Amino acid sequence: MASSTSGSSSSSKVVKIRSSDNENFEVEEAAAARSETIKKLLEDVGDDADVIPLPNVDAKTLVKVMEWCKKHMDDVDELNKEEMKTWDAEFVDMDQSCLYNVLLAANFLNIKELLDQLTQKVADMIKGKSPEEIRATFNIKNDFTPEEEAEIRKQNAWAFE
Amino acid sequence: MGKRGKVEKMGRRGKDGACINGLPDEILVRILCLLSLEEAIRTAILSRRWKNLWMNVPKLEISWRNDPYVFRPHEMSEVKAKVNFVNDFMKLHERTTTSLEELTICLPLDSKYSDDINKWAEVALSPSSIGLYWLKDLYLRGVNVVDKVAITICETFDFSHQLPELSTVEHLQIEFITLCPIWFDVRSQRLHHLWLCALLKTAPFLQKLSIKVMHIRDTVSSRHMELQVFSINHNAFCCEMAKVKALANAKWQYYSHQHLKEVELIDLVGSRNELEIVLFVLEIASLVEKVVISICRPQSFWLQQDILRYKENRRTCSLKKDRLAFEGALNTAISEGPNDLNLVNIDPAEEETMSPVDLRMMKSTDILTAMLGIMLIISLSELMSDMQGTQMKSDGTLEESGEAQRYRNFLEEMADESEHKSQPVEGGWTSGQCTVSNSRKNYGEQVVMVIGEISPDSFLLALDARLEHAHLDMVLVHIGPSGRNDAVSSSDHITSLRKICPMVSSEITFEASTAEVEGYGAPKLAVDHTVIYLQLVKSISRKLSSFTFVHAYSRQVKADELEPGVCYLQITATDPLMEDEDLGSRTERIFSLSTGSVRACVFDHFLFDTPFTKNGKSHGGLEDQWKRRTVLQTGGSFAALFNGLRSLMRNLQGSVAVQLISQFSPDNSGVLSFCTAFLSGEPATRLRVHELQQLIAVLFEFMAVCKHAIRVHFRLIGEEDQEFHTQLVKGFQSLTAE
Repeated sequence: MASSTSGSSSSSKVVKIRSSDNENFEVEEAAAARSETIKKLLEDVGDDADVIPLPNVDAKTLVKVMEWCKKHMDDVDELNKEEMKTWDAEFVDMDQSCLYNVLLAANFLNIKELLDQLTQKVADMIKGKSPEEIRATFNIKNDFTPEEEAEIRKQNAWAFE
Repeated sequence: MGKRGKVEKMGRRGKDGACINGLPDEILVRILCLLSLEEAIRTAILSRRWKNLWMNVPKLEISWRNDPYVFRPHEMSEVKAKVNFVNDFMKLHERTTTSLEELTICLPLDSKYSDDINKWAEVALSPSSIGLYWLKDLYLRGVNVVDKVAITICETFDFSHQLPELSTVEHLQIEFITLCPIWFDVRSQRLHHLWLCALLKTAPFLQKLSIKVMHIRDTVSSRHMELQVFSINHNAFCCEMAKVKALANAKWQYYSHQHLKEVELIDLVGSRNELEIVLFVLEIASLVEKVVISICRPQSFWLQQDILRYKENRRTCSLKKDRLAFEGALNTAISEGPNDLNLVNIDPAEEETMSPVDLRMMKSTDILTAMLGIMLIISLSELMSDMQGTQMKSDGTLEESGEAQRYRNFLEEMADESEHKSQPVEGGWTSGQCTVSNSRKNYGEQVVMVIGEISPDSFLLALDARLEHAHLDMVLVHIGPSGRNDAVSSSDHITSLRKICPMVSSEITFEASTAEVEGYGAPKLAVDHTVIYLQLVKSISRKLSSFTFVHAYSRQVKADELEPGVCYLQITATDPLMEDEDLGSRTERIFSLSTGSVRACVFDHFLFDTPFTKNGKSHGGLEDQWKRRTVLQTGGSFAALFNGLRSLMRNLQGSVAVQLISQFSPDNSGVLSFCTAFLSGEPATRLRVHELQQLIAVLFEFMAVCKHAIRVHFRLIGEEDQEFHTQLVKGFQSLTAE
């Protein structure tokens, strides 16, 4: 687990960010800048930035997100593409609550690529399933009355065939 | 921190306080975007939270599992349901603020849905609903211009002001739907133009335009329907047409597009529609640098025979020599312009023989002229296929219909023009058959027309128009079985023909009509056509300096169509026969003709061969095949038909190699098997010695010619034909070895 002040050995610039549960992280600027939100903040604040607070992201999630950011810090060349793909596939393979948290964080931090990967993961979980299976997978409670449900089915019957 | 509380409140069940329902709409819609439309809609049933989510998806993509250009009656209800859905969806989006980013509708729609389509187009293109502002590629599929749709779209795109929505589009691909090229309506053509105009105008920064014209084989019933649509709305239609026309004339005549650089034609079959569109685009866009034309393979509406012919011709034309002629002809038109025209033949089956023909450095005006040459022929063939070329007056005489007259004028003008420019580029692109390569093969000649699918009355008219202006070196007529619907047109052909050539009668005298019906192939009813067309040739041959008659009528004979008690005879090719001519003098005559002497002759006797086998089998080896010579006397007589043999020879030179290769191939009965048949078979014993020697001498002569031909071929070809050459040489070696 990334400890709070594990200073990066490289000479590249490091930025400090703070999670919602007040844990501090030091991340290479290039990695942090994958997040459009942080990038924008850094630009606005300039060099004299102290710690960037991220009130919507808890430490556990932030670790995950930064892990992704580090991996995707540099542009991938053709050779590493396959490797990166498998890494990404493993990365998004996490339990649902964690997935949603990372998803929310990616949305808040505005990391488009990560967001795409995660939404695709959820979409894949929906694909090819019946409504009942989807409810079971995502733990969604059916709060329709049978009449309401029938009405919805009727409305766009062709989609339910 | 506050966030956490919220999440917990929403996702009661999540262990860690997170449930998919806890995700904001924004993210859920993003997820729905990745699903197919059906799947997205199905999520409505999950829970209240999901009920309306899918409606916010900013894209709509309705696809159709089958070919959307084919109507299947049992699917109509489903189509209707989907159309209704799209309408509802559109309404929804009109109300909400979410903008539609992507719209793809692929359904088999007919004119019933024109209003719906119009609405969609309006919604999709109205500035308020979609931010097409950043759209760079626009792909319009299924712009069915035959329907009224196009007009309204044109009106929607009001010419008077520029639409900002398309102003950034740089690549535009349009698929036009047009009926089978045989059937063609001038009005819809204009709509193509207007529609293109409107699009081009709205996209001032367009750089590349791809056009694909889809040809649907039209069935009689749907054509009927189409016509009904036209007639019902005729008045309204005319009004709108006038309006559109006026607009077009006023605004587009001098319009020139400043950015369009590349025009791409996808799957060209050579129909007039397509070429007119390109021509039109070239007219508007003065800066076009590149025209890419990919030629499509013959499609289902082509007859088997035509496909064979097409392929054969393609192969012929791919010979280097012909290409040189072709390029040479166009090279004369080369000038300093930086533009180029690429004719790329895409034909997987023929890849080894086909290579792109590059016509670089052509000025667009030259392209235009070349196109005009092509168009001329195309309109000819359109004319041919137009059965309404002439109208029958009440007293039975013929009168040119307005349409035909217009075509004729057009032809005359064109003929003039092509002479002035001394453009040797005259192609024979016929609509139905697309004998593209024929045209190319003959580019070296002065004027060559290849006409398919002729309707004789209009054929005459067309020829008249041509003859007055152009020096016809040669005319090749290919009379094919009429492809569209045989029953109607062939009887029409005959009736109209009889009107033109009063001397034509269906009564033919057979001097020896005892040919066995069984024995070789099926008997076919083609006498009528042969004679009629011969007569036709006669009536025009006086004007022609030469005329070559290639008769390729071959139609499946249905047994139940034949009358009982009548003997039917198949005539596939005839040879003119002079009166009181015996075999010896005939060979002499043919020889003298081929050496160039031109004789004015009148023929009313024709010779044709009926192949048969002695043992009664329908097929047999070359040894078993015999021929019965039959003399056919016609009611009228024909003026000299074959003083054009020389030009025919010239024309055929290109195809010699092809014939040779087939003769060298072991599984084909070529020269070799002829020789073995005669030299070693049963007939050899019955031939006199000097005849045998003659045959052997001829064979040696033939081999010498072959040798020479191969040498000439080697000089002419480039690297890409090397393989073919090796094949030739191999074939020749195996021949000499025997």
